[in-house]
Amino acid sequence: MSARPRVVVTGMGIVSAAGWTLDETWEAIAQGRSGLRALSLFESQRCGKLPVGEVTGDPAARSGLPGGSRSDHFAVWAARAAWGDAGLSAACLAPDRGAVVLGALTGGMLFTEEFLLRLHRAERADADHLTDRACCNSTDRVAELFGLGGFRATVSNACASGGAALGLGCDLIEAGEADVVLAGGVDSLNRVVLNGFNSLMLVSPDGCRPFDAERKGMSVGEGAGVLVLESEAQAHARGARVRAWLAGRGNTCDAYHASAPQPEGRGLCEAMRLALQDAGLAPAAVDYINAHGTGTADNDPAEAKAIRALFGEAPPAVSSTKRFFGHALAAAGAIEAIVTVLALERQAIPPNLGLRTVDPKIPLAPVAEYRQAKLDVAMSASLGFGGNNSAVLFRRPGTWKEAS
Amino acid sequence: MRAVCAADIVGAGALRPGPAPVTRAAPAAVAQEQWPAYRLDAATEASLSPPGQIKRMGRGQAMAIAAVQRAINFCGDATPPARGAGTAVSVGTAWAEEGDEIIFLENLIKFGEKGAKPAFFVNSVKNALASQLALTFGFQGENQTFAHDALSFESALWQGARILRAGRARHAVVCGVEALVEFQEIHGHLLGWYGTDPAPLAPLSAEKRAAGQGTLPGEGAAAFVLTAPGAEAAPLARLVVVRARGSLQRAPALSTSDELALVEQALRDANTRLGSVGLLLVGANGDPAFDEIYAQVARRLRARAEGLAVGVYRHLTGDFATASALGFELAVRAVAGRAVPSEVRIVEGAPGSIQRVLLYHVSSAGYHSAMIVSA
Repeated sequence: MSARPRVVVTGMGIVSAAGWTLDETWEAIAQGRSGLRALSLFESQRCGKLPVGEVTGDPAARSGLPGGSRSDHFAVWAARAAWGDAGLSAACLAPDRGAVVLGALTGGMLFTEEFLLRLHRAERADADHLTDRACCNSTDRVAELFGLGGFRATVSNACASGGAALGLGCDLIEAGEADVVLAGGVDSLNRVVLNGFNSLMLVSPDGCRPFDAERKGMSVGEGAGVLVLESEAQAHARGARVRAWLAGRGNTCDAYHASAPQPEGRGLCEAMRLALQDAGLAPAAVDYINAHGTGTADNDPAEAKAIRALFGEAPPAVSSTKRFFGHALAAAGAIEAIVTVLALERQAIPPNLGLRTVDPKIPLAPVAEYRQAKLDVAMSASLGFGGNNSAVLFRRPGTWKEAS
Repeated sequence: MRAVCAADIVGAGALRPGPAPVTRAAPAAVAQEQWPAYRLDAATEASLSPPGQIKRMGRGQAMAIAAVQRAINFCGDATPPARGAGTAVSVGTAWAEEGDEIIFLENLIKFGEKGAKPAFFVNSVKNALASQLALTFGFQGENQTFAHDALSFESALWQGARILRAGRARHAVVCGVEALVEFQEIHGHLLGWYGTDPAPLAPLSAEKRAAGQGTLPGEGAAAFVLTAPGAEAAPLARLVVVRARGSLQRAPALSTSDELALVEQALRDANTRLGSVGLLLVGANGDPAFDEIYAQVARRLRARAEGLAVGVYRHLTGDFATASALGFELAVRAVAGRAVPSEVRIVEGAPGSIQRVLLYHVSSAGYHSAMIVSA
C-alpha cells in the first residue's frame, strides 16, 4: 500500500442543468436552486411536462467542436475546463502518457433516433451522423482535442459509470500506464432514456425528492463531469494545485436483479467498504457522503440501509444532490464526485434539495439545508442498472502528509 | 502496461458464427439486394440458453453466457471461478444489446410513446451483458463494461489482469462479445464498409474480393478465465502484454511505421524478441483496400524474423469490433496445444511448435492493438 502512488485531483470541469462552471454549480447548490425544468430538447407527449435536468444554452457553440453529438459537446466542454483548471499544457506530458477514461451510455442516441425516424418515413436516410452515435465518440473527441494518445476507454456501467471511470483512472496511474488521466462521465437527454425510465414508472411528475416520504421517482438529467487525475508526485513537480486526494474506490455488482438494487444495499455497502479499505480509513473518518439518492422507491431505502450497515448508528452527514441537476446517468458519478470535492474545498454540505419529511423507512437524516461544516473526508456513491455499484472517497489537502 | 497486465489464462471458450456467410434480404427501405454476413448458425442459436432463461435476454447476453460457460467448462484441473466477491467480470462490447435498443426505438416510432417496453430499455443499457453474467454465475466482484469500438475487448482484458494484479479478485472473467443486428448492417452498407459478394472472406490471400466489396459483418463471443500469474499449476497460456491505442485524428491515414512502432512497443513491454514468436495472428478482414496495411506490417516483421508464420482468422468470424476476442481465443489454444488450430489460415511461413503468439489488429478508425500470449 505504501508504495502505491497517491492519485490526486488537479483539475475539474462540469456542465449540468445547474450550470456550465464550478462556480455556477456551487452557487446553485448554496442557494438551493434546482436546475430542473420542462423538457424543451424534443417533443414528447408523455414526458414533455416532466421536469428534467436539461442543460440550457447551445452546447455546440460552447464546445466549439465541429460536428459531434450533444454528448460530445458536453464532454469536450467539461474536459477543456478541467484541463485549464489543472493548468495543463501539451508540454506537460508525452502524448502517450495522457489517458482518457469516460463513462458514457447514450452517446449520440439522438442521431440514431433521427435516422430511424427518417427510415420509417421512407425518407432518404443519411448515415453520416451514425458514426457519431457510438458512446465512445465523446472519449475520442476529448483525446483528439488534447492530443492524448495513451490508454483510452469508455466505461459503460450504467449509472455507476462515472465513479467506475474514476476508479479505472486510479488504476492507470497506479499501474504506471499514464501520467495524467482525464476521467469522468457524460450523457445527454434523448427519447430512449426518458421514455425508458418513464415506462418503468420511475420518473417523478414533479421533480425528484430523494429520501422524502412523498417522493415519486427520479428526474432524468444530462451533462458531463471531467476530473484531471495524476500522481501527487507529478502534480507537485509541475507546481499544480491539488484539489483533493482520490484516496479510495470500490466497485461491486449485486448479482441480484437486472434493474433493481439489492434491497438491503449489500453491494453498495461492500463498494463503500472497499473504498474505505483502499484508503486505509475507518468508517468514522468519513465526514460526508454524497448519496446516489435518485428518489425512486427502491434506490433510496437500499442506499440508506447500505450506509447504516457500514457506518452504524451515527453515520456521517448525507445528502443527495440529484434535484439540482437531475440524474445525469453515466455523468452522475462524475458530476457528484466534483460536487463532493467542492464540498471539501468550501467546507460546506450541499443540501438534499426537495426533502420535506424523511421517509420513515429510511434510516437516515439527510442534511436538508446548506450548512458549513468541517469536512476532511468525503465519499460519493453511485448505483446502476444491473446492480453495478461504485464508491469513490476523497480527502482534503492538508489532511495527509503530502509529498515534498 | 508492461508486466502489470500479465495474467494466466485457465479457461477459454468461444462462440463463432457458421463457417460461411449467410445471406438475408436487405430492408426494403434501404436497398433491394441481398446482404451476406457471418451469423451464428441455427444449432448454435438454439443452444444459447433454455427458452425460459432467454425470454428476457437479448442475444448478446445469451451469447456471452454461452461463451463464459464454455470457458468455465474448459478450466480442467484449475479452480473455476466461484460465486461471490472473489470473481470479477470485465466485458468488452462495442454495441452490447443494440438490437433491443433499436426495438425499443422502433416501437416508439410505430406505436408512439405508449409503445415503450421496459424490458427492451433495461437490456439497451450497455452493461446488461456484464451484469447478466454476474446474475447468472453469481459473480459479485468488480464488474466493468468497456464500450469503445475496437478497443473494447483489449481494455476489458487489461482491466481483468489489473484487478488480479492488485489482488482485488481471485478470478477475472473477461469476455468480448458482439451480436450482429440489422441496424449495424444498414449502417455499414450505407457507409460502404460491407459488400454484397457472398463469397467467404479470404484475408491476405490471392483470392481478393472485387474493389469496393469491402468486408462482411460478423458476430461472436469469446470468454476467458484469468488468474494471477502462478496462481494455478497448469494454465493454458499467459497473457504477457496488451497494448491498445486510439488515433488522434478523425479518419486517420494509417502508416506502417506507426503500426510497427506499436508492435515493437509490445515486444519491449513483454521483454520478448520477435524471433521467439511462433505465430503472428492478424485481424485482416478481407477488404482489399484495407488488408494492405496488414500485408505491409507482416512483410516488415518477416524481414526481421524470416521464420515468422502469419495467420488470419476473420474468414471464421466476419468483421466486428470485438472480433479480436475470437482471435485471442485461437491464440490461447495455439499456445495451449503448442500448435496452430486447424481453423487458422496460415498465409505466410510454416509454424512449428507454438510457444508464443503475437496478435495484431488495426481498424479503419485507427484503433490498434498488439497482444502477446505465451506458454
